[in-house]
Amino acid sequence: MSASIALLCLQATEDGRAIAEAIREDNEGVIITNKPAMIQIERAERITIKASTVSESLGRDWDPEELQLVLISLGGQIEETDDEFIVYWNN
Amino acid sequence: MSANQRKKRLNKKDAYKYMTRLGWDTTYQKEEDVFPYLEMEGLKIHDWEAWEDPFRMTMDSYWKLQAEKDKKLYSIIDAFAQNNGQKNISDGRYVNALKLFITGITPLEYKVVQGFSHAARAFKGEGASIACQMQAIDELRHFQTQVHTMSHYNKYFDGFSEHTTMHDRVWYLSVPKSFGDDASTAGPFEYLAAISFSFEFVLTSLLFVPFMSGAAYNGDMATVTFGFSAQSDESRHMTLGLSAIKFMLEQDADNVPIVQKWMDKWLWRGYRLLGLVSMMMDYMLPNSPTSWGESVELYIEQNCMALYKDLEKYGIKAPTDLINTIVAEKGHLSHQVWNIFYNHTNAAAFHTWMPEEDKMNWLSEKYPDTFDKYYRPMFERYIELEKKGERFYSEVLPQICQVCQIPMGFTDIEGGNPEVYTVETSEFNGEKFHTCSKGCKHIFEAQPEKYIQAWLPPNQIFQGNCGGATIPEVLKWYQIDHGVDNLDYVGSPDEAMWNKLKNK
Amino acid sequence: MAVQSIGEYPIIMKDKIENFNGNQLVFINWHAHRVVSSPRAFPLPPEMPFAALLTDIIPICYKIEPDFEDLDFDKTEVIWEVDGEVINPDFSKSLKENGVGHKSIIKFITPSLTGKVGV
Repeated sequence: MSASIALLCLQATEDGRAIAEAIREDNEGVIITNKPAMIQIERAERITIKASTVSESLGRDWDPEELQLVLISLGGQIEETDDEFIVYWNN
Repeated sequence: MSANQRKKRLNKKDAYKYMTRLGWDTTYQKEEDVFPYLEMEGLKIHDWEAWEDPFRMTMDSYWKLQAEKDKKLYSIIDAFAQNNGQKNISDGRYVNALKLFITGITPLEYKVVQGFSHAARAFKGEGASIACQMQAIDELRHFQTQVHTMSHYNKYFDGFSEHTTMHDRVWYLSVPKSFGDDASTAGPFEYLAAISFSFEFVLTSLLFVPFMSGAAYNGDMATVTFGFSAQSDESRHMTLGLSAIKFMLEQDADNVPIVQKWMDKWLWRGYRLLGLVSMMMDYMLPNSPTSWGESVELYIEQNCMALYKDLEKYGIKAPTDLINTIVAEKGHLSHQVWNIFYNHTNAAAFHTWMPEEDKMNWLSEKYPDTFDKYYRPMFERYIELEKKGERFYSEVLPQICQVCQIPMGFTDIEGGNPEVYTVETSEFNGEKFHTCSKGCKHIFEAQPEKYIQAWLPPNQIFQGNCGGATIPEVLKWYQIDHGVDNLDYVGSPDEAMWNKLKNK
Repeated sequence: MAVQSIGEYPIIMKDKIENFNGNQLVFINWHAHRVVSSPRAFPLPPEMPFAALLTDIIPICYKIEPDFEDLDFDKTEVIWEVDGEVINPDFSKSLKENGVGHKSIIKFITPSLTGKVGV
C-alpha cells in the first residue's frame, strides 16, 4: 500500500477481464498483472474506469457500481459518478 | 410513448443525497437523549457532513449488488458439494484451519452485526450511520455464508458443529471472544477505531489473506469463493475504516491523542489475536503460500509503516515500541503458539500434529535464525515420544494473560532471553493481575475496571463454573467430543475418514 | 483513557479469592524451561504445605521436560522466588506462611539445569 500507487484487484472473470481491458485503454502507463484468479492493476496516482469504455468492451450497458461484483481490493481514495469510477491518492 | 424515450434519472450524487440525508434536528426531545453516546468518549465533532461515503451506496443498489453476489456464491457452494469438493483438498490436516476459523472468527462476524448496528444507532450523521448499517448487514451475510461454506465439511470432518457453544466456553476461544467483547463494550467511536480501522484496514491482510490464500493453495475452492465474495464487501469496510479515522482526526486537534491511544491499543490487541493465525499459516496448511515472518515484513514493516507515515500530518505517531516487539517476535511467534496448542490438544476442538520432514525443512528455510536452533529439537523429541506411544498432553492448565487471554507463552526476545517467559504484574483494588507483555499491561492499566471482570477460562474452571473439576467434565461442558474432536490428527477419526476418502 | 460510560461503571472482581471455594490461585514456572508451553495455574489451599509443590505439583507439570530426570530437590541447587522476591522456603510450613498469596507467582530457578529441549 505505497503512498502514491493506486491499486485495484479484480476477480479474473469475464466481466473482470473486460474491465481490465477498458482500464488499459484509458490509462496510459497502467501495469496489469495476472495472478491466480485475480487481476492486479497498478498505476501511479490514479486509475480511471470509464463506464462507456467498459460498456464497449462488454457489449452491454455497464454501470460503475457493478464494479463491486468483481472487486477484490483497492488501494486509494474513491470517486464514483454515473460515468466513472476513480481510484486515486492525494498526498 | 416511444420505447426509446426513457425517463431521465437522478445522477448518482443527487440520488445519494436525496435517499440518505433524511435526518433532522430534534425538537421535542433533547439531542443528547436521542444520541446519548456521542459525548461519552470526549471526541469533538463539529460537522457530521464531513463524513463521506465514497461509494455513495443507497439501499436499492445495496440489495441488488449483494443479492447478485449471493447468487453466484451459493451456486458455487452447491457445485462444490455436488462434486465432493472436499476430496480435492491437499490433506485432511488442512481442515483444522477451517475449524479454527468457524469457532473463532465466524462468531465474531455475528458479534459485529450487533456492534455496527449499535454504532449506526449511536451516530448522528447519516453518512456514518448508513455506512454502519450496511456493514452490519454485510457482517450478517459473512456469518451466514461462512457457515454455509463450511457446512459441507461438517458432513465429513469433526469439530465444526458446536461452534456457537464453543465460542462462548472453550478456553482458547476466549481470545477472539474477549477481543469482540472489548470492542463492543467501548463507545461507538472507539468501536470504529478498533474494528473498522485497526482490524479491517490495518490488520486485514494478516487475517483474511492468510486464510483465503491458504485455501487457494490447499484446494479448498469453497473457502476461496467465499473469500472473493466477501472481499468486495471488505473494500467498503476498509473505506469506512479509513474515512472514520480521518474524520475523527480532522474534526478537532483535541481528538488526536484520544485516537492515538485507541490505535495503539487495538494494534496490540489485534496483533495478539493474530497469534492464532500465525500458527495456522505456518503449521496447519500442508501447502503454505507464505510464512508469518514474511507477512509481518510485508504488512507490518512495510504497509503499516507507510500508513502511519500518511497519518503523520495529523500528529499521529507510529507506536515504535509495539512495532519493535512485533518484529522481534516474528521469528518465534508461530512456533511458540503451535507448542501451546500441541501441549493442550487434549482440550482443543481441533487436531494438532508434529510437522513432517518437508514442512520442517520449509520452516528451517523461512526461519533461518530461529527454527533449527530453538524449535526443531523440541519437535523432534516430541516425534520420538509419539513413536513410543507417549504423545504428550498437558494434564494441567495454563496461566493466561488478563487482557489477551492467551497462555503466557511469550518470551523475552528483545531482552536477549528467548527461552524465558515474560510476565508483567499490576495491582488494582488490592488484587494482583498478570499480563503477558508491556503491550497488554498498558491496556490493563489504562482501564483496569474493564479487565478485572474478564471471564478467564482457567479461573472459571477453578471456580467450578465449567461443568466440573476434571478435564473430561470440562470437555463435556465445552461440547468437545473426547477422542473425536480433540487429540492428535494421527489416530483421529478425521484421519481415518480422509484415508478412506482417498482410498489409502 | 479510563472506562467511559453513561452512568456508573461497577467494580466487579471476577477472580477475587472468595470465588475459589477455599482455594487461592497460584502460578508456577520453572525458569527458562519451555517444553511446557507457559507457566501453569492451580487452585490450591493456602494451608497446603510448601513441600507438596515438590512432591505433587512440580512433577505433574514438568515431568515432560528433558531436564526433569536430573531434577533432585535433595541435590540440585534451586533458587525460589515468590512474586519476584527470592525466598528461603520452609518446606514444612504452608504456602501462605511462605508468603504465597492469591495469584502469587512461584518461580524456581535451577542454575545447573538450563532448559534443554531436545533428546
